[in-house]
Amino acid sequence: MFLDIRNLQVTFQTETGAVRAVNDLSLSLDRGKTLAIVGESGSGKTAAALSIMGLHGSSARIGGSIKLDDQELVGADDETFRRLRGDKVAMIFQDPLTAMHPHHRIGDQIAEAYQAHYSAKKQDVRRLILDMLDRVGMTDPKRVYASYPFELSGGMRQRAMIAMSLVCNPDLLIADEPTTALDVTIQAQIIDLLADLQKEFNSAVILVTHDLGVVAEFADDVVVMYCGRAVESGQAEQIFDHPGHPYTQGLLASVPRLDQERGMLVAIPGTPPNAGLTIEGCPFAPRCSRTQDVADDLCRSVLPPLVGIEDAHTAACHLAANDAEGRR
Amino acid sequence: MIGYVLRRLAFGLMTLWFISLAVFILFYVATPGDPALMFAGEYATYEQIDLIRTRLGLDQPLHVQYFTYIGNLLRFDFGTSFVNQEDVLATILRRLPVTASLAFGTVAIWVAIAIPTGVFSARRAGRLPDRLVTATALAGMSFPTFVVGTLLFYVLFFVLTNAGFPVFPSGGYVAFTRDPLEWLRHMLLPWMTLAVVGAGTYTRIARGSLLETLNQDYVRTARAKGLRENKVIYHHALPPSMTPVITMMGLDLGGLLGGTIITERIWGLNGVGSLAVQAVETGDLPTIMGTVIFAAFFVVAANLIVDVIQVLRNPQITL
Ligand SMILES: Nc1ncnc2c1ncn2[C@@H]1O[C@H](COP(=O)(O)OP(=O)(O)OP(=O)(O)O)[C@@H](O)[C@H]1O
Ligand SMILES: [Mg+2]
Repeated sequence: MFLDIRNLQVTFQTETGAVRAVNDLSLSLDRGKTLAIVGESGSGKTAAALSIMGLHGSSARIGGSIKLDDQELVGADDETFRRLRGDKVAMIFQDPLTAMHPHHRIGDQIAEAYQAHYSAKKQDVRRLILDMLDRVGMTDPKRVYASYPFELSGGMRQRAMIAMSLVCNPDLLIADEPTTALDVTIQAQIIDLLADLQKEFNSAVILVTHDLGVVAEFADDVVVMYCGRAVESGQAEQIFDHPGHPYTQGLLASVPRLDQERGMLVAIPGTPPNAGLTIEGCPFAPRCSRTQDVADDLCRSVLPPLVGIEDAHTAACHLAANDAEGRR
Repeated sequence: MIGYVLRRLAFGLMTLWFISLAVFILFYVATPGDPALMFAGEYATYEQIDLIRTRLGLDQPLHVQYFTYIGNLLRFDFGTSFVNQEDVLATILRRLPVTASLAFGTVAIWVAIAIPTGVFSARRAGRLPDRLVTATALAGMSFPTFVVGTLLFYVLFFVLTNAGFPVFPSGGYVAFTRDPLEWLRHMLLPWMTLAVVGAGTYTRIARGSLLETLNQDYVRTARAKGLRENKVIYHHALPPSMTPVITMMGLDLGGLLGGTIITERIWGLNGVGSLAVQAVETGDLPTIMGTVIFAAFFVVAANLIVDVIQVLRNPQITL
């Protein structure tokens, strides 16, 4: 397994107490594959992704294990992470405007990413970057090279960000909601570009997103996160065809689907509990419509473990095993 | 860009005009006592006083006086001192090197202390070294200049000299052009006097601003690229975080060039500040007015320069 995360815990020390952003998260990813992490805002997606890069500040405590190519990253020193970042693992951020240095030229920002790990002649680096800019679909690479971020459109900026992340040909690319800050028309272009480049570079991709449409199109595997926990994981078709967790079912129901006439938009009622609280039972129980199907009010007293409901497909719900049985 | 500079320039000139107007009202309209009496001194006859009044134009209607006043200002004619009949502008310019040495040296020391200390502190935010720096800065900030000056005078001049190590002079000024080393020796203690007070302020500003910048997304991106931490700090975070420091520097430099009264007094520096004090003590109106307008000029000019520098630092503003 190329990336293997076991029982990841991310806890932030804050003035008001500890906030557990990621709780007991396990996932794995093969080379060249795409894993989507989906979940509502605040479910810990970014916190999990940043742990792989060692990009958390000093207020974060990381527990569990993250193995990349059999190298343990939890507790690794700064220099180990520094060598990894941008070279073996690269990241694309949500908002390319704030993620780029406002006073540095695009070309210089990309060159820096390359030169942090490899030394080459100036002209060679320049040629490489112009080539990268061309590959991410820039029509005038030379102009973009000399531009400042504010001089580009949102879509162009994200393309430049993608060029920056791929310049060292990383084995793993983490894209944290790469299209959220963009116009709807541009979103599809960027996702298509990412999918194409993934094939071209054969990188593994972790795609963090709210957008289940993107997941269906692009991901091999899916992890659904709720309140810092994985509540369901499996192959994309499995999750879409027969979601095992009421939360996933709710998420899917809230996506307008093209194949259904007049797709009904059903939002999941309520909001996730505060990450600072420790919850008895299932964190989704207060919003769940199926708790009455479970005997003894188990949902509010016992945290449901992840149970296998079919090959490679698990869900953390007291009902999941039964449901799967019923389907068979 | 040119348009922006011209607008700022126009604004600066407007400010100067307002200040000159305020000075006029203060000294020509609202002054208690007769300027001609002050000029003439105690033993003048009535005829002499009348003569002086005519010569100073004080017998003219107020609007005529104002136009004479503003016309003189525009020709950089600040008049002559009541006390020694010397040209006011010449006197100020002769004393300017003293004040400029003090001002530029002080600001240079502030920044030279504040930036490394601010970086050191921000990189260890919330930990013990940071807390120590912050507390020290606060202590420095809360010392009045005259206390620091007196302490330095006592310890570094008096005690050292009595112990047989006359490292520092008790005061005075030696021109840089005459003897750079002596200039330095004479300026060190005055600089330190002002440095203690300002370095703390600047350190806190630099630390706070850098901390804020370190939380920016683009700093995270710099780290995500695998850049070394020093490069992240000095190339990505520090330059944008200097904006408030540069602004403060401009304001303070402008203020210091107008004259520093206490420090000049303690160290016997005959700069613009002590000139202003002497002028007030002797009721030397033209010199008072000259030093006030001169100080205002530096504040306005420094503001203008700072604004232009800030624009030049930001590629987003190009015109
Ligand atoms: N540096 C931090 N200090 C304290 N709490 C944090 C910090 N970063 C994240 N959190 C908390 O951790 C939880 C998970 O945050 P995270 O950013 O991982 O969510 P997310 O799933 O990426 O959400 P979004 O979709 O809005 O990006 C949130 O409750 C958040 O408030
Ligand atoms: Mg996020």
